[in-house]
Amino acid sequence: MKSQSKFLSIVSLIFFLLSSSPAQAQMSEITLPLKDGSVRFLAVGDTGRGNDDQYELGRVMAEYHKKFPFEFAILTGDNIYGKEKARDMKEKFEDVYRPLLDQGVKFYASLGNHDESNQRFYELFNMNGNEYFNFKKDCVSFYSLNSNYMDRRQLEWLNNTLATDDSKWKIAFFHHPPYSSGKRHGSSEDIREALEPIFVKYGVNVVFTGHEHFYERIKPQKGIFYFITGAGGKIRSGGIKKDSDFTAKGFDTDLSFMLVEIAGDEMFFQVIAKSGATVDSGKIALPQKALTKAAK
Amino acid sequence: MRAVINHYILCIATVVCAFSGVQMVSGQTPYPDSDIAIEKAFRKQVDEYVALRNRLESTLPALSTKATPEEIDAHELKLRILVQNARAEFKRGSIFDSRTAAYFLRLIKQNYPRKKRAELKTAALTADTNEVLLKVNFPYPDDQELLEMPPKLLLALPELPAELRYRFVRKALLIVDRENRVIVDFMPDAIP
Repeated sequence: MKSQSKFLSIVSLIFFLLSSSPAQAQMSEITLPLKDGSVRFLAVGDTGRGNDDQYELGRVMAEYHKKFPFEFAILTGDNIYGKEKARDMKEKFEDVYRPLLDQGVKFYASLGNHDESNQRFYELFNMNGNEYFNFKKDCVSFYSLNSNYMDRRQLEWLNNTLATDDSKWKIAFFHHPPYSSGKRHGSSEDIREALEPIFVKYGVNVVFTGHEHFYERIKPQKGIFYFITGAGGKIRSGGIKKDSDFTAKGFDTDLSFMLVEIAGDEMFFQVIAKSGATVDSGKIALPQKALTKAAK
Repeated sequence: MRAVINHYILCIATVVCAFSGVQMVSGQTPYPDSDIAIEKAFRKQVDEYVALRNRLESTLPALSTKATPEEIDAHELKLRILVQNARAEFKRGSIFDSRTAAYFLRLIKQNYPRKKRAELKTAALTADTNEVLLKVNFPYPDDQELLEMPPKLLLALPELPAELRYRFVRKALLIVDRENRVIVDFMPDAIP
């Protein structure tokens, strides 16, 4: 009798722990429009720690995938921290996102300052042997860049590829943020100096970066929308300067990721914390200039 | 009288500098022909390394662009061992000899402002690279940070073949093979 009671207590405890997991307890409503034929993806960075927080965030992502079935994810770098042996790829990436991988979600990576170049060969990062590359999803053209080594070769490739790209939306993602209100790193001015003129010239609309371990939506700079989504594995609590002129919205108290939907001339986004709460959301419309150009 | 003495001192110093190969400082570029020769010699050494590592790599099964982590690990390790054995006799300075190092220092100084150099030095000294052993032919540990190279500097320095990377570790500038992570050569005190 005593052992039966003990067994029931353990079962109750397990049930309580499972039912109170953040992924199930505080799911937000999806504010994204879920339009037919839209391009849907997840954006996150600085993920690859293999710690409990990363796993927990991975579970929240999987829960949201049920409500918002995104087709792919973009990684803004620091995909694997520390050792990068086969075991690490499994523990810091494959096992964390197994539910998403099993659902057919493709991950497109970019390289951060903790990533070896050889990650470009790793099948599940879909880099096809390249440190920088372009891929298209309907009317959206994505540029994965290596901000850790922005040499002449890469800049020429970027210029040439953008010059012939007539996609309605042009989105770049890489590691180092050209604008940031981070206390630790701040803006990567060298990267801004190298990339911003190219982005402006060829009409890049949105940029996703990481490096800073928090979420920040930057006020539009020269017509470009910048997001920092580097809270995929560790949070730098209080890492955002309070008096920064760049910040449109900042969140630095929990891990987070972004859900993004592009439908026609509009891009919708919703930022989800590890707790399941929505911490930011909004809509970006293509500028009229881009619409005219894309229509030609 | 003092002006005449100063004039003679300056002449003697100029002649001594010219014969001893000492580089002029303060952003002057007095010997463009020698710069070209230095850069040519640098490229020759770099190309020789790349030819060697590519020849060695061709003896291994080609790495697929859709490889498993195990295949990537195995390829990296095999290539590293081949290169390390083939370059066992190489010492520091095979690429960054004293003339080349002086040339690089001048390029960095001329093309990257003092304030930026100070920021770079701070970033390099605080980066997570403490366990990088500065030794030619040793591997750059895979758990150590790869400090981002400023694009402006990359545009100013001689361009490396795709197989190689410049990297700052503490105050040193390294040339590292991006696939086997072997430190090909390095120059200490590279951030003036």
